[in-house]
Amino acid sequence: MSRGGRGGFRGGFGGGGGGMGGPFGHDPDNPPDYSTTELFPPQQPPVPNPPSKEERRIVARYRLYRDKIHNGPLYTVMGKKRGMEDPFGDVSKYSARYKRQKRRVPKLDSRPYVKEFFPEELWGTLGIDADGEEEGGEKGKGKGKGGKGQGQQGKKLIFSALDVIGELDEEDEEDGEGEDGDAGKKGKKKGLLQGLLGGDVGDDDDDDEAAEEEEEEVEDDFGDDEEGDYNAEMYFNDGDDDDGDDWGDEGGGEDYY
Amino acid sequence: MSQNATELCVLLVKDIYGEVSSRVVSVLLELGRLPVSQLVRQLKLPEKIIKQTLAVLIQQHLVVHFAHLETGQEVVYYECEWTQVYELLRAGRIIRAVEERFGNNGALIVSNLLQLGHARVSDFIAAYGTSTKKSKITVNGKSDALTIEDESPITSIETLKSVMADMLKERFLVQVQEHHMHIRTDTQNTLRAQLISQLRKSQLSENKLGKEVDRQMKIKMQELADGDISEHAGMKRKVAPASKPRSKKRQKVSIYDLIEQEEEEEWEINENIVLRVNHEKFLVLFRNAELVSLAEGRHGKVSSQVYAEFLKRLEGKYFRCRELYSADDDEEEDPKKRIKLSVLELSKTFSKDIDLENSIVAAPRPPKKKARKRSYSDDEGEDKPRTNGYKKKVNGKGKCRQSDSEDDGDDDDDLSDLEELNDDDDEEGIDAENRKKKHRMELLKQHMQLLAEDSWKFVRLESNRGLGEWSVNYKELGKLMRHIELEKVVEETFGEMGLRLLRIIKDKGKLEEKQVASIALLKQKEIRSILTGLQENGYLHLQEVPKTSIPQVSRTYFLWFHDSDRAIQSLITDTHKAMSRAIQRTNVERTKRSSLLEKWERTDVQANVEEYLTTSEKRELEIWLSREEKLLCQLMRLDKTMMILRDF
Repeated sequence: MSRGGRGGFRGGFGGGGGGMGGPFGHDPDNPPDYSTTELFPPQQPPVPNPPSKEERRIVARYRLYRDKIHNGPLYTVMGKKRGMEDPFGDVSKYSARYKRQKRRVPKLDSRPYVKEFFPEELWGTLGIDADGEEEGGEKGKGKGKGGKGQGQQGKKLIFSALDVIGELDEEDEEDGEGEDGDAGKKGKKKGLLQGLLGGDVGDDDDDDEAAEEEEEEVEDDFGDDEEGDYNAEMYFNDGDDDDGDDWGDEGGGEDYY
Repeated sequence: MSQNATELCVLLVKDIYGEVSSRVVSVLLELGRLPVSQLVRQLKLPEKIIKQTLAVLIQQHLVVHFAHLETGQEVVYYECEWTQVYELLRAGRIIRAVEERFGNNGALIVSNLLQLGHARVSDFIAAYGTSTKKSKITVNGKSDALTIEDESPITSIETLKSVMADMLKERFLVQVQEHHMHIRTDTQNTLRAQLISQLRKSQLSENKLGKEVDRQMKIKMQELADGDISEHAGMKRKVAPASKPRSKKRQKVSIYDLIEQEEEEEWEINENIVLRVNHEKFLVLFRNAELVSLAEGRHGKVSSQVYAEFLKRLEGKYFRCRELYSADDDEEEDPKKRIKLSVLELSKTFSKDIDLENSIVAAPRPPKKKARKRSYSDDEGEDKPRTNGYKKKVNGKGKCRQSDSEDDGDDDDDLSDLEELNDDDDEEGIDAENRKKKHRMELLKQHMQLLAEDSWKFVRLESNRGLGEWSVNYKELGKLMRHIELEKVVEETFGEMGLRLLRIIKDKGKLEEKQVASIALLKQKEIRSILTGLQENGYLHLQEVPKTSIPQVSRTYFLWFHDSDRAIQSLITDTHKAMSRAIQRTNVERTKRSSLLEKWERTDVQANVEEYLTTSEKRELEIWLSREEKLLCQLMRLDKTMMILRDF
């Protein structure tokens, strides 16, 4: 994507037919600007208003909803293909036992379904017999004895309590409106964090500027800082490329544009 | 659907249901309906995984299906319902809206239903029962909800059920029917085939038959879309043993008694029905909220509150923002069909908390009884502090939200008014009450008139019955809102000049550049780049009219014009794109910090954040969280724009 094109119309060229009269015609008063334009003319990014309280509540609700689904049985990630594993990063560590579990296939047999709403070919997948009777869970939690209520004994919908985001609001009000209360209300953990950091959170107004600066900074050394100091894959990949002169920094940057 | 919308939907599914689901969705969106075997070939994933993913997506209503008989065997086709996918984004907004309206219990129900897709009421309640078994104190959730802080309020199942029933009644929840799960076109086709075979028997001519089928199709589809609209849909009679002995006592059972009994009978939700969240109805709610905020900008707080109450009363009669199958302009042409409400009816349920006193300044008149209402500032000065009749008390910003204490103060005022003014009235409290009511209604009417007289026509007067009956022309207001949204964008991108040019061209129709320049009092070369820019964005269009029979560029008029539908379309596309970019940006930010976030998500770290995270890590986490919030907030704002542009 190049923003050069957009810069173009300001010059007023675009010589369509070259005749007089039309909007694209040559205009002697306004000669076209043939000088080369900058590929990326500096543009002031528009700064959006700080989020209002209501908006932040909506966002908080959305996040909690998403988190619940991510922790639930339906969230799935793609497995890594064979041979694509990171030989260093993917070694199983002791701390892995604490990690959030990732599923490659959704866990379907834990809840009851309304089978009429599913096509017959999926019934097997849901753990429902062809006759229409529940199998009572493939793990045999409650053995289906014909009746629907019986079959569903082992199966319960997962029900999660509603998180409270109200308490953080009050904190906000103490902090004052808008800008400096920015880091409030992100669920409980967030509140905790905020408590921990104390004064640091308050100075959010320079965070805005810092954030922008930082973004630029980070973009420069793309893909460098997340893997730690030594990144094996980067090393080998760049080793294969012949043009890798100073391999470290430009590994990601070369084909960025 | 456009390519940008596809991109957005895939990103959304990936964000919420993970990558596997998003890949299934992307294939379905790109290629249209497919059977499982085709999906397997396209995705190169094991069939088992695809089937499981499809089950997930069907459960969440993101994918619909239909079985066709092909060469003797049934083939099931799957199709992605992209509007439903888009609705994923609104989860936060919906939960918030319900929280406002039905309190924590409602929000609890909706957030769980959103996670579950659809659920049978009995299952839902059973699940709720087990989740709260540990602490089986049953308190009235509504009153105590506020005091309990860190846990979800403990509500009795009965309360939960009644909230659920209320939500069902107001159509925020709907019963899932089988046709909801099927591909719409297929449902339509089968229906049509059925109708045709039925009507063939009646020996109609082919032409008439077609028309008749079309007519009946519309009715049937409307029925399907509306579902059961009877008052007690999805409810059953409560078993109420208490009422039985009493009815036995009565020997003579008159008709009136029967009616009375009917009314007294309690209803509760039928536990066998399957419920889901009705996104359409929430859109009606959001549209009203948007209109109220518009009205607030024009007429100030109190009028907007009156408007909000008015719209709330009408809300039950609108099932969705845009009727799919009703004949166009039906509502517009037939004033009898319009949905209207009179001030009299409105005043019956009008919230007492809203203080109407002093909200509208009456025209100055000779000091008579109602000296209080007199004021010398002019009519629009609603927010100006004004002096109160004879007490000279400054009732500053009298129309802004009144706290209870202020209300009391006003009441005192009224009392003293009455005492001072009417010696003859003080015995008759009822009369005073009545008068107060009447006065209030008069004020309500004035507010409605204000809203109706606005050039944006928030309401329109239907008749003078019951102090005036009013209706809302949602179609025109929708157009207006879309245009305002477009103007906002144009002003943001092209500045005031762009907006002015757009307005000129919209107002005048088709214009040549020279004419535009002369109307705008600007030089041609000044406006040229802006006009071209507007055209590039699709907000303006150009028509060529050749002067001669042989088209030549030099001998052609180029006329600028504005086609609002096309302009809105291109704005929608841009908005979709902007939304995708916002999500992508969030993803980039996330991958940048993936190792930190992974650490943060670990259960041991979650348990004691303080110890396990270094200061710099905490700071980084703060940055990430606030940045994600900002991006998501932006996404929600874009979604709001999208609602106006596409759904209202």
